[in-house]
This record gives sequence, C-alpha cells and structure tokens, in this order.
Amino acid sequence: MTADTLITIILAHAFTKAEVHRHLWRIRTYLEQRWFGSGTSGTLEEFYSHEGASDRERAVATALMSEIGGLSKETVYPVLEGAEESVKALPYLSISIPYPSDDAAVVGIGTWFRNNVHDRIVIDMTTDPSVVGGCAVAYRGYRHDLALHRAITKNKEKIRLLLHDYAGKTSG
Amino acid sequence: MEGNLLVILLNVLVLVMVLLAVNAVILLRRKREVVPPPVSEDDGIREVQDRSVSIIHRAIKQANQILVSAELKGINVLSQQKLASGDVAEQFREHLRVVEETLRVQYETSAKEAETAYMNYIQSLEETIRREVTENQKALAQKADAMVSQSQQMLAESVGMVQERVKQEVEAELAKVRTEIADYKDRRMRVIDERIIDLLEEVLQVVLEKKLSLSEQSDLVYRALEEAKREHAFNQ
Repeated sequence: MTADTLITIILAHAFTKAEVHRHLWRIRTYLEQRWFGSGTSGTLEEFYSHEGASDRERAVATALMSEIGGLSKETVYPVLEGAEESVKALPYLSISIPYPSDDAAVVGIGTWFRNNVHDRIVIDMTTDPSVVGGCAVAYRGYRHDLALHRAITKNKEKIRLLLHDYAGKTSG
Repeated sequence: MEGNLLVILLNVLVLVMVLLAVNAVILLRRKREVVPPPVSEDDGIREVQDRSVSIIHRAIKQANQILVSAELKGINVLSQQKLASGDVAEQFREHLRVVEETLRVQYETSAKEAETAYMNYIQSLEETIRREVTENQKALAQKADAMVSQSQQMLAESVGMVQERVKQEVEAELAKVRTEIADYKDRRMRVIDERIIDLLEEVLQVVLEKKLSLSEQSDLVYRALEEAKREHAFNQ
C-alpha cells in the first residue's frame, strides 16, 4: 500500500483535516501496539470501535482491512510519513457556519466542496453565530462572507429604495 | 590844446629855417671846394663869405620874418580859435539846450505815448484776461458738465455691472449652497440609510438566530455556497 492509496481511502470517508490526521494517528497506534505493544490481536475495526470512532470513521477501518495487512515494520513508516506529507499538500478550506457542526453537516458540506471545488479538498469547520443566514469561507488566502451581511450589502441599494418608498408612503 | 599846436608849429618852422641855412652853408662850401678860384683865392673866399653871409643873413631875415609871421598867424589863429571856441561853446550850449528841449519834449511825448500805450495795453490785457477767463470758465463749465455726465453714466453703468455681478455671485452662491445642502442631505440620508440597514441586519441576525431551524440554516448555507459558486468565488 502506498501513501497515496492510504490517503485516497481515508479521504473517501473523511472531510476535515482533523479527521484525516486522526485516522493516520489511529492506524499508526494500532500497528505499533500490534507490533511493539502487549500483542493485541484485534482488528483495525475493533481498535476503532474501542477508540469510540463513529460509523463513518469505522468505514475507513473497514476499507483499510485488506490493505493494511501488506504493511510491515519496515514499510509502514515511509507510507505514514508520505501520507502526512500528502495531507499537507491537499487543498484546504475553512468554513464557518452559524450552528454547531455535527457529522451530517461535515459530510454534507464536505461532499459539496468535493463535488464543486476539488475532489480531494479537506475542510476545517467552525461555528460562528455572527454568520447567520449563510456561512463564511476562507480559501486560498481569501475570505468570502456568504452570510446575511453579504446579502444585505449586496442588496443595500434595493433596501434603501424600499425604505425611501416606505418613508414616502408613510409621510405622504 | 590849440596853444600847444601853435607852439609846435612855430618850432617846426624854426627848425625848417635852420635846416635851410645849414643847407646853404654846405652848398657854399662845396662850391668853394670844387670850383677853383677864378682870380685869387682870397677874393674868392671873401666873395663867397660875403655871399654866404648875405645868404645867411637873408635866410635869418626870412626866418625871422617867417617866425614873426608865424607868431602873428599863431596869435591870430589863437585869437580866432578863442573867439570860435566861445561861439562854438555858445552854439553848443544853444544846441544842447535845443537838443535838451527837443529831447525833453520827445521824452514827454514818448512818455505820454508810452503811458497811453501802456494804459491801452493794460486795458486790452484786462479785456483779454477777462475774455479768456470767461471763455475758460465756459470751457471749464462745459468740460465739467461733460465729465459729470460721463461720470454719472459710468457710475450708472458701474452700479449696473456691480449689481449684475453681485446678483450672479449671489445666485451662484445660492446654487452652491443648495447643492451643498442637497449633498449634505444626501450624505445624511445615506448615513441614516446605512444606520437603518445596520439596525435591520442586527435585528435580522437576532430574529434569524432565534427563529431559523437547523435545517433552514443548513439550507441557507448551501444556498450561499451555490451563489458563491455561481459568482466563481472559489475559482480565484
């Protein structure tokens, strides 16, 4: 298994950079415990379950079951380090949403960005109540305000005309 | 002066006589040296001496006569001169008197004429001055009238121009003030509009935050992302 194969399998079920790093850390921990630890004999899925992983995270473990057997003590570290370097090179995007992000939100928004921006993009999602009515995105050094403030600013002239019309009607 | 002339004349005559006598003596001596005595030398000398003496005597006599005659003539001349000079003086005095009288009369006449001419000149001068003054007054009055008229006209034009200029400036200033008021009003309205829009945004934020469900907020997120995609926000 190469580093790129590993990253591709992880990215199929992980959308945030934290998730990708968490998968790489769990794989490394699982293998080191198996080779150098107390000699656990469980599978990767069991390890993920033991770690309290979600169903989506366990899907990664399931996908890696057939691949991880080909790794040895000598080959695992180059693969893991190559995967770490590959993660650094992945396109990255930060998004703020006005409500607390849950797994569905991460999957939905992550999928949207994979389908519309880049198929290997990883995101970082935060909660910001001030971006009500939309979201805010930081990508390639630019911040895009896609919330209510943007909508109002964009339609400011229309709102002003409406206010004037309203003022004219009420004063007339 | 006349006496001196006579004395000089007499002296000249005496000198002439002396010269004649000397000349005669010289001639006789020459004749005695050149011509040899015809008979005897003593006889010749004696004859010559006699003749020379005779000649000298005649010469002296003639000189004396001349002198006397000259003296007489001088005296006569002097007396005549004295008489003549007295007449001349008298004539001269008379003439002077006549001349003086004539001159006096002429002077008086001239003085009168000069006075008359001067008076006439003064009168004509007064008349001329009076006339010039009158003409100058008239000319001055005419020029003054013309200047006053011109000044009034210029003043009226100037006042009209100033009024027009002031009017234009006041109108321009009014227009400027109106424009500034309109700009100020527009700026104030924009500020108020901005404030209203900010308030609206704040109110909407509060309302949407409280009233929107999670699915509605999620839907708004996707709509915002789709809109950003349409505007190529992620292609930068």
